[in-house]
Amino acid sequence: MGNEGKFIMDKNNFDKKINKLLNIIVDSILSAKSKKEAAALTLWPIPTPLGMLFWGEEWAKKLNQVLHLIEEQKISDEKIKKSLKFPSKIVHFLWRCGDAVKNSSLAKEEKLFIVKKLFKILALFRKENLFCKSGENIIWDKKELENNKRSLYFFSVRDRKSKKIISNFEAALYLYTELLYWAQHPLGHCFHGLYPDKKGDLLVREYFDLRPKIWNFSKNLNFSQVEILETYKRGTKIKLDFFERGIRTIVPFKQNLKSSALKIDTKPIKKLEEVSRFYNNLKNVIQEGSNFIQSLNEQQFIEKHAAYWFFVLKPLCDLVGKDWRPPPQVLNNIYKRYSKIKGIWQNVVKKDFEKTGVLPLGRQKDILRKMFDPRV
Amino acid sequence: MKQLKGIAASYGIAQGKVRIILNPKNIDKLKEGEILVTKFTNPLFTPAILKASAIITDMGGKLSHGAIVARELGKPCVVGIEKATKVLKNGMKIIVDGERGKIYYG
Repeated sequence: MGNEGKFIMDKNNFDKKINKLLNIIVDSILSAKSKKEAAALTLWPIPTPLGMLFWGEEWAKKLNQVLHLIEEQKISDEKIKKSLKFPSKIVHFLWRCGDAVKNSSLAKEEKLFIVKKLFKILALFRKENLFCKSGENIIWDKKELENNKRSLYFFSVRDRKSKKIISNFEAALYLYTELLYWAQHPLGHCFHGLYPDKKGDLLVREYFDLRPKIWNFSKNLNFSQVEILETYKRGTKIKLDFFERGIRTIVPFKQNLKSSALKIDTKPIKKLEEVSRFYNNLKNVIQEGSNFIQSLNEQQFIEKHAAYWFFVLKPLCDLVGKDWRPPPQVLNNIYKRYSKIKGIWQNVVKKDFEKTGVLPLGRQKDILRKMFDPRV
Repeated sequence: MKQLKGIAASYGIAQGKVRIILNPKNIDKLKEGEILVTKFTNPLFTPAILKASAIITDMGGKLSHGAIVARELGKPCVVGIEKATKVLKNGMKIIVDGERGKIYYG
């Protein structure tokens, strides 16, 4: 067992890790809202806690089962890392340890087994900086950075036009991953860096799984992954998010951008017109997707949410030969117990969340910490 | 001029006409360059966000959805105003100051 395994098995250190994780979850939730409103967890059409009532239990059990099978089959860390490709899925699972896993009927030991295993897998990507201390998310070593840079063409973004084309494309990609995965959008992207480089500091934005089978409209997208390397003036303070939800920097940083390079699927982009073409295609798919989603009724919409919640388990399920799809109980909950579960949401859970908004900040933090703590 | 104060979420200044959209089913009403005013954005607002020159929301903090997205697009954004959708009216000409978190109108 490597160093990353040692700290996981030490109870004090493990507790510290969980405490850190809880602080980050609470901070993420509170920074998404203004002072007086309740936690933003309830604002979107299918808020996470509502989904949880339909499938949280089954999801937690499946994750637990798959992680045990990985242990039993002695699947190497390297293989796990290769199948996941990015840490964003693991950090997403870690957040879920605070809600789906915590609230499941799994025994406490099983819940903590999941958290430990996930920390261990996360360490494969982020090495010793698990919590993105100082806002850094370093997952490439020097060799990987050089390999990825080698074939790319860097556009200078000094002129307004090229900056606008690339920025719009980037922002649309981010929005598109939200349309695909809603609050779980890091399932479609990973931002990492900053990597010190000859000409400045490099930020890498990777977008993937852009054509998931779950959404038919995504078939019309002409590409399925994008890699963007951005060079910023040295010393630009860009803070990345532990949960890979985006860039946490709130002061303007884009004016320090010097150049950008793009690879779409496996093709390095050499002309700005190509970016414009991909952007137009992306905008059309976004419009189509937005129209399609709005045509769904709430039950159909929830069904789609269940699908991508389980879809995220696919890389781990593939490793142990398990089907990733939601088990029949989940669909039964949606088809047969819809009104009852929706009622619990509206009359109990949502009201509880809304009450937190009027409490002092310290009290809100305490409540949220307890709410997400898998040990409690 | 009258003012509304919220949380400064994305720097920059924009001037334009207000378009209040409370239901994403109405996003087509927003014309290129108008200022999107809503309670809280979600992914269904995406086509409107791409067309808007600035974003204003009643709810949300510095790391809320609208704020993150506006910064990525480099568009001014003020969030957590609480009553923007009530005070502002469609077609009203306003100035959004994303650095000070202020809206100037009237």
